[in-house]
Order: sequence, then C-alpha cells, then structure tokens
Amino acid sequence: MNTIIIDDEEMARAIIEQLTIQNKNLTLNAQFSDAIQAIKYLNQNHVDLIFLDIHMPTFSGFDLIQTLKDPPKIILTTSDRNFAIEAFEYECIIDYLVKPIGKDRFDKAVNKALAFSNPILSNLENKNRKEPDQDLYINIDRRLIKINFPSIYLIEAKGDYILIKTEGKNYTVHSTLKKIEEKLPKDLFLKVHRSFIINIKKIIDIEDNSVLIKKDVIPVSRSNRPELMKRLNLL
Amino acid sequence: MKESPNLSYINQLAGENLTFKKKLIEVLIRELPEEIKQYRKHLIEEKYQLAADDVHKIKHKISILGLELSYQLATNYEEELRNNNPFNNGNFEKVMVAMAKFINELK
Repeated sequence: MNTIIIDDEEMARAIIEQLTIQNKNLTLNAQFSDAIQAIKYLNQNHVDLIFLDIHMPTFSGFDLIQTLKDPPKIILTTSDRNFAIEAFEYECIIDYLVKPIGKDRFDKAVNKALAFSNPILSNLENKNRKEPDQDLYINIDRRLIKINFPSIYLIEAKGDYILIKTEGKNYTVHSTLKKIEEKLPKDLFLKVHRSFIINIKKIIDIEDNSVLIKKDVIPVSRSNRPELMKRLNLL
Repeated sequence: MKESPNLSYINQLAGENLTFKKKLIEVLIRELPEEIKQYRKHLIEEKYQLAADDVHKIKHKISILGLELSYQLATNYEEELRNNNPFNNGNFEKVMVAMAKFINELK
C-alpha cells in the first residue's frame, strides 16, 4: 500500500517512518508536517493509506478528512483518546493509534487496512457493520467504558461535553449531543430539547412543557413536543 | 513524582537498529527544548489555548520517556489550560525540568 504520514511533530514522523519501513506491506511515499501541503500532494497523487495526526495547529486531521472528496484509508495517530468516538464516524478511518505507538499495535492497524482493501473481507466487514449496536463505548480517563443503551435514561449537553446518566452511574464525555444522537437507537431515545435527549421508556410523567425522568425534570421544546406525544402509547 | 525519564520505549522500538535509536535521540534533543520554549512563551503571554497545544505535543515526549504519572498530570493540565486555568503550571514545570535534564545528559 502506498502510504504517507501527516504529523506536525518530527518525533512522531520519525517513529511512524521506521514502523512503515519495517512493514513489508507498506511503501512510504511522502511525509508532511502540515495538512495543507499534504492536501496538495493528495490532489496529484494516489495514496492507499494515510497515517494522520489529529491534533495539528491551524488545520486538524478532521479538517483534512472533510476536505478530501474521496479520502483513502486513514489510520489516526494521536496523543489522547478523547477523539475516539468522533473518529469512528468517518468511514475512511480504519483504526486509531495512541502515541507512543508500539510495533505490534502498528502492524495490527496495517493488517486492518489491508483487510479493508480486500473486497471480500471488506464486504464481510460491511455486513458485520449493519448489525445494530447494543452498546456504546465512551472514553473516560483513557479507558473505553461500555454502556448498555437501555441503561441510559438521560443525556444532557454541557458545553463541549455531554453528561450521560445511567441506572448505575453518570459519565461526562467530550462530545456533542448531535454526535451521540446519531449513535443512539431511534426507537428508544428522543431529543426533547436542544440540550436533552431522553430514554422514552424511562419517562415517569409528562406535564405541559416538561417530562419527569427519575428525579430529573426535563424541559420539552414546543417543536419537539408533537414527536414526543406521537411516540407515547396514549389511552 | 517518583519516576524518572528513561529510554525503554526507544530501546524497545529500535531493537538492534542503533542508527534509528541515534536518530530518535537526536530528534528528541532538537525538538523537545523548542517545544518547552514555545510552551513557556505562551504561558507568560497568557495564551492558554496555544499553551495547551504545546502541552499536547510535549505529552508525546513524556510518554516516549516512560513517564506515566507525568503523562496523566500533563493530560489534566492540558484540559485545565483549555479552560484558561494555568494554576498547575508548577507541577508541569517540574516534569519539563526533569526531561530537559535527562536529554542534556544524552548529548
């Protein structure tokens, strides 16, 4: 696979370069310290795989992905895991490597990219992807914690974070309400306000402009009320 | 903090490839002081978002030098800087001093 590295840090480029050289499936064509130069290169050259740093000044890895019309396979490289959920919203992203990158983990990510390049394996992968997820993984202090959807009763937007309230515990995660809404099963959850998503099975009662869930009184926007009423089994 | 910078990761990654090991150490010696300099400049200028970006970059070097507790400290400090809170700079400074001392000995 023809490969390029995009990372503003020389140390990171040096490490990935060496790991690339050691992997017989990869040919390193170029490396870039900024995303703009990389875009120029990508407009003129075919690349199978990019090792892309997320956190770069002025133009981030995600900005770069959004710029590309038909992005190649991408393996993200980063110093923290806070972007893990956002990362997997892009189909072109194959894997997510947390620095410092070890050889075994690097080779595993490359094998994944190879599998995606193989049409048979890729189709199998797509079939597997169509299975609805029962769980959600969230990043808390560099650990991916599994949350079962039905256990979530409320999700609240709090600036750059969201507060996920479950039967057992509450979690604060760096994400947006919009992003998590896309991951949630539509039959179970409903956005009732710009700052709140509720699990409709957990509603205790409803008043004019609010719902009671556990001990939380949640406002319901006028525009969201009709959809809420439609979803209820009214007598 | 009871941990010391070390070359375990670099040694493991490079194996018997001494040229690569030498290259990584050269990059470390060249790049880290510049990153620390930038961070201190942004901190003095109270440009906390830029300082947070600097800490983010330095975090990689912290993990390369095997400083796991310091890595967690840096992760928290980066988040604090993003909220315009520089009050933990003293603890982070200690980590940088230890790293700078270590790479000076590698020269």
